[in-house]
Amino acid sequence: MGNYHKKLKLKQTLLAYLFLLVPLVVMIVFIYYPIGFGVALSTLKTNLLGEGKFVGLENFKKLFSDKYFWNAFFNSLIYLLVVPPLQLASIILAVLVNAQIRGKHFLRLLMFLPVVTPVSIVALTWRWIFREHGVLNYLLLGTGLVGEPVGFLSDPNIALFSIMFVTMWKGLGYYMMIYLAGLQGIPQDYIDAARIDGAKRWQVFFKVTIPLLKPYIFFCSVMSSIAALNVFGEIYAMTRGGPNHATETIPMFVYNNAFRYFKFGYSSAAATIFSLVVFAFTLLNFRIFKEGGVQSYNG
Amino acid sequence: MRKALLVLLILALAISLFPKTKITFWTMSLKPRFTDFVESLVSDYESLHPDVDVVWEDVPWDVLIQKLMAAVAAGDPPDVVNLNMSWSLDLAAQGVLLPVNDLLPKKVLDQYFTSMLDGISTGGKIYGLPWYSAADVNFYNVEIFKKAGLDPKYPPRTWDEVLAYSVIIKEKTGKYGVLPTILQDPQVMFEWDGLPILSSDKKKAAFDTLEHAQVLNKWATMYKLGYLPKELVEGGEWTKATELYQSGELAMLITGPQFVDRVRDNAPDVYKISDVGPVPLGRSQRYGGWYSTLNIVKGSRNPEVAADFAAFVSNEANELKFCKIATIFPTRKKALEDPFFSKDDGTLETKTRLTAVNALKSVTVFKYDIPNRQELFDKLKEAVISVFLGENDAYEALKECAQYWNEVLGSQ
Repeated sequence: MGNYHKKLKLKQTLLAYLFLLVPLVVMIVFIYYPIGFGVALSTLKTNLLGEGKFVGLENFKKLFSDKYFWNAFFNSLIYLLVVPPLQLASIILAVLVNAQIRGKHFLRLLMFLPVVTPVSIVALTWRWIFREHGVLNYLLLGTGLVGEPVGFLSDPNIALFSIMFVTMWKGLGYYMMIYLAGLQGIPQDYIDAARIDGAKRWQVFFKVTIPLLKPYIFFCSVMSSIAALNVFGEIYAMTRGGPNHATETIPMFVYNNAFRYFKFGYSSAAATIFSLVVFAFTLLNFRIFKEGGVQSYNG
Repeated sequence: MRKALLVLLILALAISLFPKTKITFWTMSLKPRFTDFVESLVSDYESLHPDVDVVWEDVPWDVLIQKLMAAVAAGDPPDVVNLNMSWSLDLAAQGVLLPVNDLLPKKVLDQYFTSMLDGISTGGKIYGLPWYSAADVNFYNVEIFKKAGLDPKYPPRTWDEVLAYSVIIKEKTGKYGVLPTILQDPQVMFEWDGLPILSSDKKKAAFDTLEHAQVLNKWATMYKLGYLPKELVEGGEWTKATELYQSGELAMLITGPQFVDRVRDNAPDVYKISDVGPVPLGRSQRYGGWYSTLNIVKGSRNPEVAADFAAFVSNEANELKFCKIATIFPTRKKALEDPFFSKDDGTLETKTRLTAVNALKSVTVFKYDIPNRQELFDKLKEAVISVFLGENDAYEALKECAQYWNEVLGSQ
């Protein structure tokens, strides 16, 4: 390699690092430093003035014997097990609005509307709908489906599922748009070839469309898993974790301990453990949905 | 030309040598309704003190504490912050507030109600100035009373009567009688009946008795039998009660007159068929008061000026001005002597105000300057809710909760 090329390569490398520098600094300041600070905080007992006393793993030990932490952990787990799998329903919605039907643009708009509505407004609206004298109870009572008003947010056995429904309702349009993009990226030739080979509609869907959508399913699964584990806005605005911790997930637990009880070290310990869980689930998603997509067909 | 430049230079130098003292003032959810009022307070103070520059910021009440904590941690706190009695005690315990005894002359402090000063004092120091207060009334829907066969001339005077009225109203009209704010501060149901929740030395819980369980069971039974709204256990009772009353689904709104103002503005038809009665009392004849405070934050660069400004904002004339635009009450003894708080003009608005003034006589400041107050009260609330939801027996729930309290109080 000549001297000129060497110099050019060095220049290009330096330039590349220069371009990387800005986002890197931003990430260090706004992501990695807070993560490190949070982990360090979890080993301290702090007060509001920022004065801290090193307590080692004391906060973690306390957490493992705190029944409210486990309750919140369990609630987050339920959220994770229920909400992301149900988001897969948005594939059907995407197929629907991808079909050559009248008013499909309007339908897409309708389904995307909850996504762009602020979570506080969504939560307050649903809180109003869920009220004892709200629209939903009015309809249920009117149709005779229930004998007395349902305590959508006041019954501890139902409250968490009511909020999950709101999360799904709000998120469905977002995932639908992603799947729609995926569907439109599938070459028509593959579908035509399958049809010529005698595949039925459902066979085309399950044997061609779904495998080709795998990268999108992966993306949506990761995003919806993270969203389910981090859910906060809906819960804060609708129940604040109540009644009696029935809807308290880990983010709400972290918030309450930090900003209600001023236990920053303790809440950071919970946040640290929880971050590891989120990380583990993301890895798991990576493993499950690694393969697939149009790329794999093209070799 | 040269002379003019020289004068300008000297002026600029003088300004930079003697900069204005800047203080920041945070209020709690006063914008936009009281923007003009607060701005007038700031400009009045600035014209009296030309060397002081007051920067006002209004913060929604539900994020105030978080924002304050972030500002304290960042080393840039406001000089004066608007809190309430409970938060004042919590933050004083965390070392975030400065005592005003060291910043203001005694003659100024003596002008406030002693009980209110006592409510925000701990360790012999006063951690703020009471700003405005609220006293509850019973605002009730005359039409619902009539439909239920109750004479609206005689609203209930005690909590037991309220519960009896609620049963009659639910049976006769299908509507709820009351959505009491008993879970906002779960200890009130015991305080109303004169049952203490703490030992006199504040080292032990005192609510694990059969008497306390009896009171809790009374309320829980009403809930379980469907005479109190299901939403009671969800929190946010003040707002929910007001919303329910506005929609004509609740017979009695037992709350501060400021919520009655909302009914007047949002549901004039319901307001028209309403009347007002005194706040119901329990066996103790005592009622817990609420008041807002002005506090000086540790880290303020000008604590003396900040305290002087806080005293100005809560002085007699300014308190009166505020009370005339909102249905709230003064915290300085002299301000309450104004005819505005005693002269009846026959309107429902004035009747509400005078009824509340009368209730101020029963107001007691229940003070709990205990460590981890918020957490302990949340645990008590959980115990109460578990009984309401039928998950636990009243006595057992209180006993378990008292054990938790004793562990926390004993570990300090």
